[in-house]
Amino acid sequence: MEKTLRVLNELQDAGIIEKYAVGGAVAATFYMEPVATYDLDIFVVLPEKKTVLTTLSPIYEYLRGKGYAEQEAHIIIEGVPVQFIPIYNALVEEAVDHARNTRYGKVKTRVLRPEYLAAIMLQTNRPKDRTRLTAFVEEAKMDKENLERILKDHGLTRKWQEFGRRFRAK
Amino acid sequence: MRNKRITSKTVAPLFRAKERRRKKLARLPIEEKVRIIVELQTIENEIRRATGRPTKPEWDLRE
Repeated sequence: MEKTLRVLNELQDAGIIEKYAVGGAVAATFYMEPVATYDLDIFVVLPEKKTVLTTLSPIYEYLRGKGYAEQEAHIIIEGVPVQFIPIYNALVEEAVDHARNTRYGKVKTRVLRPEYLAAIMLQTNRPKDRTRLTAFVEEAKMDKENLERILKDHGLTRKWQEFGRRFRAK
Repeated sequence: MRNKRITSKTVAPLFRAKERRRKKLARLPIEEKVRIIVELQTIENEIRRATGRPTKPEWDLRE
């Protein structure tokens, strides 16, 4: 996956994307036991252009030029299917802005912080998010104050309380 | 129930052991965890093949 992340850094250095952060199951795996997944979710902030339309085309064009093949909603970068997700709401935007700088092997990368991952799972609320979130809150070390602030700012406090009542033992 | 002598008290240590294992796995370096993700993909695909379902692409992490 080092090579994959290196290519993502190239995208950023080339100005194709403004910044990125690893999200989804792989980001969750930074903080908990390994989670079964087949793709690498990458949240991207695209450079501001004078168009209202957000498009991932420049990313795909750049990567096609490098010989990487598309497969349904993914593009296979160095053996890993990557799904690019443009920031789609205020919570995700803030999550990418506050992503943690870290390393995978020798490669620098950015990963969503656990408090934001929990909030995004709660907001997305698919069955797999609820299952993952139940394990995540047990295993991941989170800054409680930061989590409460994020939930409050994004109108998720009540949903969190409800989740606690329905899915968490404590 | 068939196993009358097995109660939730009997299996409690097993669940505690699972919990300990999960916490141990959570502390592994990310590179090792990603290696485990690939193993999980292989196992899941074996089950998919055995049950006649389409497989999914496994990651190829050869550097």
